[in-house]
Amino acid sequence: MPRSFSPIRRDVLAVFGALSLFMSTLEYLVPKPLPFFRLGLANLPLLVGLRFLRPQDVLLLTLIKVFGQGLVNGTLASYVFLFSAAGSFSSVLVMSLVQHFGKSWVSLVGISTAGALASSSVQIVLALFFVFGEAARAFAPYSLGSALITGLVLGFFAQRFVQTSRWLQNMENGYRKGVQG
Amino acid sequence: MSPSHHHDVLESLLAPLPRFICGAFILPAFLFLPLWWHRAIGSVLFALLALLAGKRLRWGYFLLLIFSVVFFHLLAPVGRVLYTSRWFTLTEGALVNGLKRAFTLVGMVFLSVAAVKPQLHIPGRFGGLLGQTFWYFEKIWDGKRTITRKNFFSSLDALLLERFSPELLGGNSGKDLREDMVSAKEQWKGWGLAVIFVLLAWGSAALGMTFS
Amino acid sequence: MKDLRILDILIIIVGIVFVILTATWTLSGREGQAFAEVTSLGEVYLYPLSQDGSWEFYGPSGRMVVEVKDEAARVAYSECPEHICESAGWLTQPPAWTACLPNRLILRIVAAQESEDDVDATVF
Repeated sequence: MPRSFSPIRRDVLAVFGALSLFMSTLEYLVPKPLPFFRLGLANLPLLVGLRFLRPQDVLLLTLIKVFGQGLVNGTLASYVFLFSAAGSFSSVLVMSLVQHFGKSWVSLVGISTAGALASSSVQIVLALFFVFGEAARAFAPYSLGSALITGLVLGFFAQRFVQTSRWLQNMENGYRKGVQG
Repeated sequence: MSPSHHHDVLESLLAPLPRFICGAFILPAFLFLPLWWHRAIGSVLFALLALLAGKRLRWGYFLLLIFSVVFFHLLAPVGRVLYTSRWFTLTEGALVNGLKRAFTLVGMVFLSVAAVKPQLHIPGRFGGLLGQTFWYFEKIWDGKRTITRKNFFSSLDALLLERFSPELLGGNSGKDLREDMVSAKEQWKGWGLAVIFVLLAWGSAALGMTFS
Repeated sequence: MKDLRILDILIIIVGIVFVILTATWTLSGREGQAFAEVTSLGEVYLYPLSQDGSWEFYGPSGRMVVEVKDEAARVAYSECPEHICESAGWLTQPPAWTACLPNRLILRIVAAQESEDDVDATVF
């Protein structure tokens, strides 16, 4: 960890991480029509945090999300963890790049969609190799299509949350103050 | 009260660390089983273990997973033809490949679910961070009732504001779920049982390989 | 909808194009798959030419080996009097075929999505 792990930074990361786990558990409990077509609600804290968290904290939050889900769901020692990690990290990478280079031309809608597409693409490749075999290419467009849609929807929600959430504003202020010290 | 938990029977037998290591060593033995129905049996056993661990398993989800994996493997025909029609040819090789793959995946998940506990102590500062995350997670989960579906985000916002107000920032270091984790003395409880399980698993794998 | 920005729309368009491209890619990969079809003692077996391998079969006259390698198939070995089947060599395209009558084995190359008017197995 660079410098000291300030308590405020720790708190913000832990709360965001907890929120992510909460979202993921909610999603887990809601029955889905088709497996592998996830809403990605757990990405919400990552999305809204992307704006003000420092890069190393974004990475750390992603780690928390992946390991946290692995531990809570118990899937740490299975292929699910591999897929989750690959999808999450590729998504975060793409989202960070889009945000950095997109600046004010892009909103959370675009960032979220790009991230969802990246995550889905990586997971499709993994699925072809480890789960379904080559013949399953047929489901790739469906998976990508649903990723496009869920990314859009999540982006809209994230955008609205950023605009209306007082709590988020507090967090951001506290974080900025905290990491300056 | 944590989500999706009933009583964990295995907890009284194994501490989190030997439990995880046990699972980690059983996994390769499972992967060495050569025939699909070996892995199917293994999956059923692991499912039972997962149930003993108190986890609720969503059978519909796993059945759908098995069907879809088998389905996609059937699309690449190999081996003896069992049935054929104008649109579709069912082959033994593809079926076996599909079943083997399906039960491998499902078995892995069940084993993992049975072996992994959130109280598993992950060393270092990251472990501490995770512990704190879990503690906050429990706090949010406790307040779940106040969140409505209609006003999801505003009620969520209200809950978060109430529980995680800015003054609290920075004051919670050190609080984490590790407080309810096992003491150092108890950390290795059940390691003997773990060793026995691992040996049983490898014995089964060896049996499976010789008689396939 | 009101606060969509330029890059958002661009990303969405790229996404849609990507999905369409993927759909055409998966559809195109489907045709053109060839199989070695072995009929032995009434049972039919299919082996994709894209995967190398060799398989044993038994008939009244003895043992046979069918081999698939480099997108071609042949009867590599056969315990029969005339070895006509073996002399056919490597088969690559439909409707190439060879047979070992004493051993009651037929080796044929078939393509996916072929539907014949005779009784042989159809591959989807």
